[in-house]
Formats: sequence, C-alpha cells, structure tokens
Amino acid sequence: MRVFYYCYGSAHSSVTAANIHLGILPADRRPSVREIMHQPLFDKAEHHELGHPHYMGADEWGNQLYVIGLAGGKTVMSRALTDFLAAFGIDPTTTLFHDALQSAGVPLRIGGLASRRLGLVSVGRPLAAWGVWLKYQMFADQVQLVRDAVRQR
Amino acid sequence: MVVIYHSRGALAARLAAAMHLGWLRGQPPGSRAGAEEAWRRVQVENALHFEGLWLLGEDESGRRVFALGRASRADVTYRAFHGMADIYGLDKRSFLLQRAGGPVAWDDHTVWLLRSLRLGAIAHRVETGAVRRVWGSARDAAERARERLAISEHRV
Repeated sequence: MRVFYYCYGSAHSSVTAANIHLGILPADRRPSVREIMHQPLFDKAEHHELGHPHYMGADEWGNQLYVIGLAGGKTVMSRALTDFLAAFGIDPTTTLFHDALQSAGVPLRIGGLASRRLGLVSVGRPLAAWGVWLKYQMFADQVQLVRDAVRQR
Repeated sequence: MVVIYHSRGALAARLAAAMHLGWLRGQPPGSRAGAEEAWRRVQVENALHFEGLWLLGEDESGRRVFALGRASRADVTYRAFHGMADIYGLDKRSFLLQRAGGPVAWDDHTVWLLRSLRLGAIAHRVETGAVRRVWGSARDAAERARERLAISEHRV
C-alpha cells in the first residue's frame, strides 16, 4: 500500500506526519523544537517542487510513504489523483491520501510562508518548527489514525 | 488512452471535453440562449464548482475523455499526475493532460457568493456569461489536444 501525506508545499506538515509514521520522530512524547527542525526534509521543499511526490520510506508493514504538496486545491486534487489511478485499474484501497495540514496551526502556517515563500529562513524555519511543536499531539494522533487504517488493510 | 482537460474551476475543462466528444460545435454561442444550451449540454448543475475528475465519455477512437476542475495551479496538477504515473509505473503516453485555460476565478467566487445568498437566478446568468467568455479557450484546448493526439499516434 502507498500512503500519501499531503499539505500545501510538502515542507512541514506532511513531512512531520511522515516522519512520525516512520518512527523518525517519536509518537509517544513531544520532541524538542530542535529535533523537529532537524528532521529529514523539514522546510526544504522548493516552490518548483510543488505537486511532485517525494518518497519518504517504508513503515514496518512495508507500506510506502510519500509526501506531496498540492497547493491550494489539495482536497480536490487528492480525490482527483485517486480517481486518476482508478481510471487505470489501480485499486483505490491500495492508496491512501491524508491531509496533514489539518493539524497545522497559525504559527506553522506563518513560519512556512515566511521561510518558503518569502525566503526568510532564519525566522520562518524556527517559527514553523515551533508551530509543529505546539500542535505535535495532533500530528501524532492523526498519524496513529493512518497507521491503524493501513494496518487493517 | 486517457485525455484529461483541466482548468481552474471546471467550466472550461468540461466545455473542452464536450467539444472533443462532439457534443458542442466549435462556434461560440451568439446569444445567452445559446450559452445556456451549451451549459446544459455540459450536463452539470453548477459547472463552475464541479471540481474533481469526471469522466464525460469516449471519443470516436475509444479514448476516455475526462474533465478536471482543479482548485490548484496547472503546474502543480501536471507534476502531481506525472509523479503518480512514475510511482505506479503508468505509461505516460497513455494519458494526455490538456490545460483548457480561461481565467474564471472571479466568476467562480461570484457564483459561489450568489448561490450562498440564495440568488441562484443571478448566479445562473453569471455562469452562462462565463460559458461565452471561456468558449474560445475551451475550443482551442480541444483542438490542441487532438493535434497532440494525432502527433503522438503518428509517432507510434
């Protein structure tokens, strides 16, 4: 099975969710802001990469994890991509799209905007990481839902 | 073979797909009544908000023709679909993405607002006006797609 964590730019929310899923970030405690900031691919995606899925790894059940930034139309696009695969005979139950942005709060969104869109990395990246830290339990809870879902399939 | 017309919102994509299938003629509607008829032929109640991927039918060569109303950018759409094709090993020659264009963003929001205010009759007039405005870009998209298909099939 393939799991796609999506958000706006595949730089913060989706990456955090995927890293929690893979065990790179802890699910049972809240890591420090420094740990969050130094997780793989955090705040690294470039604007021209929007839409391009990035492979993050495989979980303990062999499910392949990806992150993808779908910009403003993420909900519509995630459904459209599932329909697109179904048009080629790919079973929709073998693909799972999860909106990681629903766990994001205002500091994360502002930090992400500052870093990725405005180029203010020194300010935006720590702010985004702090935003993740504030909402970390939500991220962990959402990832657990996804893990439960893929474990049952 | 899968042909996917995509546009912001859904109207231009559905019009282009309908033209590809021969449901609509290439001439723009010269009147509001003509635009309304064309809008009805596209077979959606609220075309401007009919986002997502929708199969309209098969053309004379058996190609499945879809319309995609995207709320995102065209380049994001392109990368996402091609990225999925790479991941799942789909032959990229088996599908064609064709942008239908036509900036209808303000129509989109206007119609949404009007319908939210229960002003459906006015929203309907805005929608049919949008049909006439995007007709040209939809027709161009349908022609371009057919040219690209002809070229790719000639190469094969």
